[in-house]
Amino acid sequence: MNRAILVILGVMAALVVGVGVIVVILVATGGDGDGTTQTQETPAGDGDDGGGGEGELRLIGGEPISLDPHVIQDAGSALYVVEIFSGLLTLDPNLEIQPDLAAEIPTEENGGKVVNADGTVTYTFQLREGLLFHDRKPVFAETVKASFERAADPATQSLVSEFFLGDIVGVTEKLRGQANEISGIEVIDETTLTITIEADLPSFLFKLTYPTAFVIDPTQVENDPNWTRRPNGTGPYKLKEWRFGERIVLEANERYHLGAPNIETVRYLLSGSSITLYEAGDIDVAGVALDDLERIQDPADALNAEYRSGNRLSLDYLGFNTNSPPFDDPLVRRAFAMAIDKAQIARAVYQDAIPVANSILMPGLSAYSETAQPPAFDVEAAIELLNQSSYKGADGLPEIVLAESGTGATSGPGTTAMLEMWRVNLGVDVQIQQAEAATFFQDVDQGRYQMFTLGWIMDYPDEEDILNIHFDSDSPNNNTGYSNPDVDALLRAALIEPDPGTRIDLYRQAEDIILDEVPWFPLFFDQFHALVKPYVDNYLIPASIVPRLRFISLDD
Amino acid sequence: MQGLLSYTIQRLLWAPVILLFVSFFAFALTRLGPVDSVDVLAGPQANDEAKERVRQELHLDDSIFEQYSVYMKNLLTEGDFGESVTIYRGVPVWDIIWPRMLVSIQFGIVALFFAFSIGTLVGVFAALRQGTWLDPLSISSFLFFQSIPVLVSLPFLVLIFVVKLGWLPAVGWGGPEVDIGPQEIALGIFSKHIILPALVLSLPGMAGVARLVRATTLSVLGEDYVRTARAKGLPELQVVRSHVVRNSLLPLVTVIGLSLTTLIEGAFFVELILGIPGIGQLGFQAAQSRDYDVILALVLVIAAAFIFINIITDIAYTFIDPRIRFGGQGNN
Amino acid sequence: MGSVAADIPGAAEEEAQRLSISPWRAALRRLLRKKLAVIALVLIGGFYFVGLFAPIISPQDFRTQDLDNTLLSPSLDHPFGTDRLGRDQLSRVIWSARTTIIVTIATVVAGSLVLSVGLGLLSGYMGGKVDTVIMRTGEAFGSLPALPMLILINATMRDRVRGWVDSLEANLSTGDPLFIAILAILTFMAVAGIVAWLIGSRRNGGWIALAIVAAFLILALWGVQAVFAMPGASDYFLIFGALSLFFWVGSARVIRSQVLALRETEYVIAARSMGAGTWRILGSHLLPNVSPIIIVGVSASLGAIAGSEIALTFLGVGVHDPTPSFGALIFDGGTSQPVIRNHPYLLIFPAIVVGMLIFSFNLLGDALNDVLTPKAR
Repeated sequence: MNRAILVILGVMAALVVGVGVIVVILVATGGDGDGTTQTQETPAGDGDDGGGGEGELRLIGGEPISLDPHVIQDAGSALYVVEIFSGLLTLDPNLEIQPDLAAEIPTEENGGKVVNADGTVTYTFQLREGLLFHDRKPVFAETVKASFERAADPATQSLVSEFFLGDIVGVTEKLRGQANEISGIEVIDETTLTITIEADLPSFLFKLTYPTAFVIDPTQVENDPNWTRRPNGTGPYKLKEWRFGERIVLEANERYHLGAPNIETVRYLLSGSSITLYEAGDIDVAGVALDDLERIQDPADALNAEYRSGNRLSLDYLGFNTNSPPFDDPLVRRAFAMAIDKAQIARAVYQDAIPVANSILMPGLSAYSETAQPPAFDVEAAIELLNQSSYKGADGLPEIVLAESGTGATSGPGTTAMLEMWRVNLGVDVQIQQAEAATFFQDVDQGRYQMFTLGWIMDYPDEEDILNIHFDSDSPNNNTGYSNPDVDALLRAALIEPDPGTRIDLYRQAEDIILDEVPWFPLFFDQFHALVKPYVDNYLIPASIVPRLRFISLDD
Repeated sequence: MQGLLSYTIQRLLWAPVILLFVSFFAFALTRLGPVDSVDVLAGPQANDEAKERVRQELHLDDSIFEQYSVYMKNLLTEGDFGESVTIYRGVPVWDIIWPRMLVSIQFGIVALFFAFSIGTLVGVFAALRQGTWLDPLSISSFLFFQSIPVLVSLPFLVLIFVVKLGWLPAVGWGGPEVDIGPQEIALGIFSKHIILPALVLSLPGMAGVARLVRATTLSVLGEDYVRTARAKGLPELQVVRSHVVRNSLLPLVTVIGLSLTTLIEGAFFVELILGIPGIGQLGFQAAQSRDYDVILALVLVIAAAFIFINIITDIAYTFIDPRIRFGGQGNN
Repeated sequence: MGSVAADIPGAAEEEAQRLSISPWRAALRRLLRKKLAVIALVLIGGFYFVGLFAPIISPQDFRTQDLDNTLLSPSLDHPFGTDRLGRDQLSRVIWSARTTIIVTIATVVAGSLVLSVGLGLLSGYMGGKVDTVIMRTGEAFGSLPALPMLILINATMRDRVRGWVDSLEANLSTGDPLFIAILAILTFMAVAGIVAWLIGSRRNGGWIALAIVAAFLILALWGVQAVFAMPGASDYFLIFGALSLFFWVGSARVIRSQVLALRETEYVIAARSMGAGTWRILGSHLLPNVSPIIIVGVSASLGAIAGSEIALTFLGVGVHDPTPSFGALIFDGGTSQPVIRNHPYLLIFPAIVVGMLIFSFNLLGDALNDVLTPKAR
């Protein structure tokens, strides 16, 4: 027995020593273990990567909820999806529509757009020659049609297809399970298809740039239950590796029809502290957190030269469920809005890193107005409003819970600051509830919360994508239950209004009513702060989520 | 020896009983705990149709015992832990858990080795220096480490080694990759990423080992035969090696059990703070996203591993020292 | 280390006989002779004092924000600095201590005392099937790492418990006749128990046991009432309910083995032969004899309970905003590297307090173990 024990001890000791030696060697050599791994990982297999770009761009990113383009509705997932998949049309970094799978944008001039006698409009899309999926399967008009039908299939359970595809004739029937096909999409020949929409809608082509209209590989979706982990798309990058919680590696699609990307691989780390990694040289671009912003904005700081910022078409807002007490009373909503000092929160909590929002439409949209009038900070007026409301003051209010997306022990500082303002200014104790993103989005859309904070980033630069989608009483994505016939009329008129000037007027009128009745209370616009290594060229910070990786290049 | 054998068999038979109890308890929580279990189990994207399907598939209208037997049948016959509904929608739970287990096991093992090697050294050192200031200093400083929860000590170590000194990588996991089973897995053991998590997880166990080794060493040093050996002029280290080490083994085995708890619980914080894709991080995400089948599977896997190792320890314990009474405490 | 040895608390008794003083006083004397234990006691006492009187001691309310003075480094005005919202960090630490106290006391009362004493006595005294069921259940709980289970319980049960607490809160108020009636009966029991003990034979521990139990229930009832009135009441219930499930096992096991040993001693046999009932024997003979062990068990688990609450809160399944907790403070100060780097004081102060507290609990547990049980080294 003693001998056995000694053997065990010996083995243990050997292992201890072995591990120790390895660790010491790694530390002493500067832990090159990682570096070598990376270089060894040059793409193998295809054998024809000569045509693609070179080098590797290392970024940090969040874990996508899903890579299914027809289902996702969050910016975090869309970031990857727009690089892997593509549709008939796309947005360039200036948010202008460009042809993608289609050879050109159908217009009345080139004969691609025809207004029919019954008021419907038919677009004819001519696909490019020789389009291929990542696995070299060809893309035909039939494939495009099958993709649309998959997106509008009730079994797909997409919450966004009704808004983004609903203009197409026959999609509503398909979504309700009343039809097997979308009658408005017709395949003419192998590379030509027509899409017929209900009316002449100025913003329709924008909707085709959204992931819901992207092309998937129908055979793969049908046969592979785990296809979102190895998606076969038509985008500029292919998914090479997705290791849960660890990293996502994209590899250039050298046959991409709009031109091969400059950079061969893009590696996203899915966890980590971006600034520390950036300073250690482990990533090339880093978002800057508030706590570092002050330091980096100081011109004396070594990192200042690498600092960039860009505005995004994005709004943080406070949403009130207009069907849920006490926010069914517009006076209560107004009172809650007026008790918040946004300017002070922006200054103290966000160090003025993000601009205060005084309108729902962001600067950059054509209907944006600097003179919009949301409820202004005024404590006395807020208390007065609360007393006038049907709840007769703070004591008459039911228990209120504010929901926000997030995990961990504490809620966001901005939210906590608002809670305290309500407590001090109105005498109302609001509880807070955190939910993880996927659950949160769902519960918001289903109106399960009384009040929530959320952000909205524009999918395309058109007012429709924020006003119609959220405030039309019939919209499936109206997350506050807001319903006002006047607003509905204005929004629907704007939708089909051909004259840009009149359209802007209609949207401004609608926005004024909405700001006045406060289903949403706009809080902040978004600004993106980043550090970019000097050898990264053309790192664009687009105002929305659009494919952009293929434009970036690396200096040698 | 017969007693030993029957004790071993008894322990081995007891394991499935505990597992059954635990799995039922955990299962009942996931099915009966939520107010709206269909909504949760079908995932946030589900429509009424999908909910109805889930209700059918999981037999949610049947009694909890029937639901449990269906779950266990799928688990035992097909290794089917169900599917993730929120974090990685539609992905089989086992595919998510397996690669993460491999990661957690890696730094768990290294942490155990750190704990035993450093703990033993410090323990022997303290015992040999008994009576000087070095003894209480080393032991009480280790007791202090033992008291500090991982979530308190880790941010400090990050502050020192990552932020201030920059010696260790900020976060994450890396290392050369090998194929293990269906997945490719990174061997963090061979990278600097292993140091911080293994070190911080080993601290509590290290203190336990050091104290035990010190106590045994002291009592052994007091024994006649050691004194004889010393008197014979054998070098001190040799005396220690041949006698002390052997006698320390017994208490060390007990410490494995204690260290395991710290390891598993500490893994949650280590993985969360350092962004390591192991089971602790997954458990946290799953709890936050209400992905109950993932947490359920995690609890089952952890419980099974834990019970198994505890039983091995128990048996090893009795084998090493047959003087130990079988069956534990309480019969004096 | 090692489990508390299963022996009659002989050391203190031997000494008591030698010095002819009560065993309790002897134990206390032995305890006070240990310097580290005294320091630990003082630290723990200070912590509980600060936490209990948080409303009086704390310079500010834990929620009070001063958005003009955010992220200040420690100074005379704010000894621990201020956080991103200008909240005084010292006040938040003090109020967090209060949360820790509520959770530890509630868990000790619910889990360690009621559950483990009750089940331990029952199991040891009844033996047979009752014993098997209780001890095997305990073993099943004890053989698991608690944290994953606690996370599971908290994640699955949170909404349901919130519903229960809300409906209870609506039904139970201090003015409720039922509440007053229960309180009156318990008070009567407590007073009667003490009076009977004083007037009657002092050797009859049954009365004093009754009084103690009644007093505990009164305290618990008031505690429940007080907790209901706080924001986030359901969080507390969930946490100490879940923690209790795991922290009764250790002491129950020790108590059981004590009872097993005592059951065969002469005076219990004598009492039984004179016709004394089960509960009477349990209350008057066994309970007083196992109390030192209960104390050891409780003090050993206090640190673990406090640590578990902090851990659960850190993971987002414990108490929630705005209730202050060390878990939340450490989460805020210690998980983001920009914060650690630029504002380390947000981490350092709460972390030191937590570290010292748990260290003290462990030291005290060790010392008590030494004092009350002779076999421990």
